[in-house]
Amino acid sequence: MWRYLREIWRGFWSILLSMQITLRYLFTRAVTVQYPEEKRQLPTRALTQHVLTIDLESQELKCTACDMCARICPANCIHLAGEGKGKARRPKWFVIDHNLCMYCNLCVEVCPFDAISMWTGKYELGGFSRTNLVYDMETMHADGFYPTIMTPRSPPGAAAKAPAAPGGGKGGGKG
Amino acid sequence: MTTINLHLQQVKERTTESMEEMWVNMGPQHPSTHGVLRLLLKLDGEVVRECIPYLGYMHRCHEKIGENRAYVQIIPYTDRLDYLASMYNNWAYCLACERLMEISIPARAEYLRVIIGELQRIASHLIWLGTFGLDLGNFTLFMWCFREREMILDLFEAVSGQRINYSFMRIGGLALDVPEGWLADVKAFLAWFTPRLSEYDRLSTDNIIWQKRIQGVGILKPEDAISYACSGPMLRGSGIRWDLRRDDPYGIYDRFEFDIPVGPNGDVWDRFWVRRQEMEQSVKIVEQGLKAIPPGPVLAPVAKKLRAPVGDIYSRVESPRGELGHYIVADGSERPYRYKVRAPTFVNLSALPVMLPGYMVADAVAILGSVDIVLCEVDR
Repeated sequence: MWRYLREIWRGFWSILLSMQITLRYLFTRAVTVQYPEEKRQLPTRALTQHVLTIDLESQELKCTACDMCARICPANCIHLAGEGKGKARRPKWFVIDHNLCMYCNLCVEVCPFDAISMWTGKYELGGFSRTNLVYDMETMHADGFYPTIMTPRSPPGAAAKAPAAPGGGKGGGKG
Repeated sequence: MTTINLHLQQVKERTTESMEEMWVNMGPQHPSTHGVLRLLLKLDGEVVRECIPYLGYMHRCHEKIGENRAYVQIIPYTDRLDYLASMYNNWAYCLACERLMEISIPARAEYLRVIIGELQRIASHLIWLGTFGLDLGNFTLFMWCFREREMILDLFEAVSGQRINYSFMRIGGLALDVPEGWLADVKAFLAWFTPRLSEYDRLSTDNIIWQKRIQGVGILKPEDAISYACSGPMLRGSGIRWDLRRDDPYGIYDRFEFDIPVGPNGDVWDRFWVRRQEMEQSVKIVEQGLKAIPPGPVLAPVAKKLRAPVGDIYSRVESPRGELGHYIVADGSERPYRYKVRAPTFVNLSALPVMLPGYMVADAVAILGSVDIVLCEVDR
């Protein structure tokens, strides 16, 4: 009988001890973010929507429709066709089906011209139809500088002018 | 319909033995099974007498898909096996390919692989500890473990751009070097994380209710653990000091100093305590790696179109759940001829019918939790 009561008391006491530890967290800042109002800062390398990068001077797509990205894609979600010959070769149409995309970054790594990037920070991709996630050349056309693997921080000419890349590779360990 | 009837018939045949005992389905949709696992339990009152696990609800033909992809294209698919330790799947697969193609990888990549891998082990054990606490009714532990895991995910996101399915390792090294200041961030994380471990201890390990709940439950004898080919913390919890990082070193693990914690009794408590101590050892390994990491390239020069020479390879690593092996048969083309994954949780789960009988249904939840299953890896 005494042993039984003592067991209950020990259990009760250890709960009180645990509560004492958890009580401290009542007075600390929450680690969570209230999403739609408040947004997390993404690191530079966050893989989000694809973008077809442009040459900043001529405002033309860097893509030469060499078909490397389409061939390496494991999910087979990139489709494109090119027109023109040699250096003038440009994509006629370019479609990425993000419903199938696995966000593996292989298409970006294989691109010899740095013409495609996933480091865009556009992560709110939700839509009301499946076709909303099928991107064509107009929706993926870059409207300015986007970081790529070869130029992760700023455009090649304007080095050290503006820290274009958000986050700058800082993510965790903030304590 | 026929399948259901077949199962019902099996169940009926079994129920004729005694009116006291009955067959009950636990799962496929049960919160403690962490996925879609169906356990058929024979209950005598509240005591489990027999257990039959039914698997395969999440079968996705991973191996068959792999046989239809080029070597480099399989890497994103390996993420989807054990989604709580994706880096380890990448590593295991890339290591198998590197051994098959005889590619040696740069020193910096080796060190980064160890650092990232051990961080992944901490993240995986944290998730295990959190969900195990949730199974046993300790919700605070769950929130705390997820808080620390988020920090590791932030670190991984800064490196690879993804939070779960990283696809970061490549055949011949890593996809990219780590960004500037990342190693300092890892150091800051370790400084934050080490005191948190003792906080978990004060919350759960020292708690008498927690101890009474899991001590002496779900005993797996060492000989059973060996004969069921268990590996990882399941085997070490049963008192067998077997760790592939020490016994079959891959990468550069022979350069690191660390202990291999074992448990004496093989109960749920020992498996919990082994994992809890492994987190400390992982911190130790990461610290050693941070000290010794050299500069240099992270990707060996490899051909764009990888072709493996004719032959086969079985290569294994110590994933957070046990021995993760990849078996590849190559016929000289761009694709593997045969590709097989030895999933540690699939093998560990097969020891469940030995551990469950004789314990209560509530203990079954704790025992199942202590196996640390990931159903995507079990079913593949």
